[in-house]
Amino acid sequence: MLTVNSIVVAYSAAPVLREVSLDVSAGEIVSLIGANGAGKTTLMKTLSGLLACIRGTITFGDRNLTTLSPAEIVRAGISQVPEGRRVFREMSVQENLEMGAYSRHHGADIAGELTEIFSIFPILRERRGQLAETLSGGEQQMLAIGRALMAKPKLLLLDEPSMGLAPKMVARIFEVIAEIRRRGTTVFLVEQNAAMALHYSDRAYVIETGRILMAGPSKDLAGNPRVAAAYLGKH
Amino acid sequence: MLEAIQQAATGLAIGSVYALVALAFSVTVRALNQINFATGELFMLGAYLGITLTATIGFPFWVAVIATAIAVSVIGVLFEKIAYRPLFRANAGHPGRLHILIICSTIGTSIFLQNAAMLIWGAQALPFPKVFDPEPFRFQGIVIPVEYFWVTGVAMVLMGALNVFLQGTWIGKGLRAAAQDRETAALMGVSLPAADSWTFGVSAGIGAVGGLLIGAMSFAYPTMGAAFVLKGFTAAIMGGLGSIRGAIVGGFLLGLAESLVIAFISSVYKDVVAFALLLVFLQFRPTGLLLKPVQTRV
Repeated sequence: MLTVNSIVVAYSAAPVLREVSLDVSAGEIVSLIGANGAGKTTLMKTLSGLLACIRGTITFGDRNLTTLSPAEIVRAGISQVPEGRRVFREMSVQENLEMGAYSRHHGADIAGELTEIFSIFPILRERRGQLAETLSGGEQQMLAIGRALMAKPKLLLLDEPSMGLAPKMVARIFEVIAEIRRRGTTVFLVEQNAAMALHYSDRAYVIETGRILMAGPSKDLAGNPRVAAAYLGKH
Repeated sequence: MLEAIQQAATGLAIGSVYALVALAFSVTVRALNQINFATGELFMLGAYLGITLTATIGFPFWVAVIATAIAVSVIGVLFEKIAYRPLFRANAGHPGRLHILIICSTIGTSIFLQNAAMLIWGAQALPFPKVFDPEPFRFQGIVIPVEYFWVTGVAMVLMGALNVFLQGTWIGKGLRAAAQDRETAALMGVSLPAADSWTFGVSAGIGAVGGLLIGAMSFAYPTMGAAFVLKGFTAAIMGGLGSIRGAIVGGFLLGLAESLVIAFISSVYKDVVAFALLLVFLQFRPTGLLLKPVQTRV
């Protein structure tokens, strides 16, 4: 479904991603784990068209994403939950969700998606009239996920969905991610919380200083002593 | 008392024009964090176009308002494409440098537009044609010129239209999202270049209607922008620069404050009010009445 073929991305001169390749197949949950500054968010921004790659290609189905604008990429079927949630703070919950359907243009019938998202996140229905800035961190994360789903993506990208959340909320978010996949959306996520990411994903990649270091089924990586020592806090 | 009521009517009319200029400023500040120093000249173009469309072509006043708004909006869009976007593209990673370049570029544009207006319409002040009933509204000894109602009314309709546009339309929602968080708005599918064009177009159109309305109460001259821009900017600061509601509140407050000074002290001190308020606000409440005192944008 998504194929990233040896892309190089740089801010000014220093490369942040060096020959990164990975692929995601339809129906999978794939995670990318790595430390702060390894290049995870850079990869996400490149996938959604906010950053351009110097070399390499990104294809989605049979479409080349490398030269598309962010708006064209959303329309192609990839939507992103950005790092730090980034809800529109001065808009209501309902308006945030409507913004998620922005790429589907004016007058698109979004009632069905709203109902579906409220069934996944009942709390958002309760708070639909509230300003997003009044929500708790966990609720904002749910809103950010709901907003991304409003675009009816084939592939959902999640950048650090567990960041800054209490353990109980982290578990809830990952259950929702599993539920989203059950409902037919492919998921690619990047995480510092390697334990959760490996537990809930089918396959995983490990990134270090802009290079893919390891790849494989998540279970195998979780059992790998090197991964355990570096990312799971087991010595 | 009569004098005060009469001055308040004047204050509302003038204040609504200040509010429009303040809005023109706040729209670009909110969306792009840039002050457009050519706002005054777009205002001046509005006054001249209003005169040309009503006097030369013979449009009814309200048609001239709409036509002027559209025409100067188009100029605003061209302005964005020529004087803003190339600089923005080339300096996207350097906000400090971009600010200085945008200041230079908008001041340059204002000089260009002033001189263009002088070439087209001449350096002398042009009076607005007599399109309003010369017989003023009279009620219990209060005398209010008819154009004051038009000015206040048109300004209020335009503010209402701006609100509907921003809150209720697809494009308006995209602009609000982009003003809050450009990158995330882009992730939602908002085209940022299109949003920036709309921002400049809307700002220019609003400023131009402000100019046309002032023209309708007096006359047009090439350097008229400067005087009103300082008042409009003061109004924007009073309400909270970048706040849409703040611009409206600030505009009316400033207009009323001026008229009360004229009523109770002397018209000599009219301009002192605005600049005293500007200094007081900048010193003690730089974020204005409607924005939180310390703004943190995450």
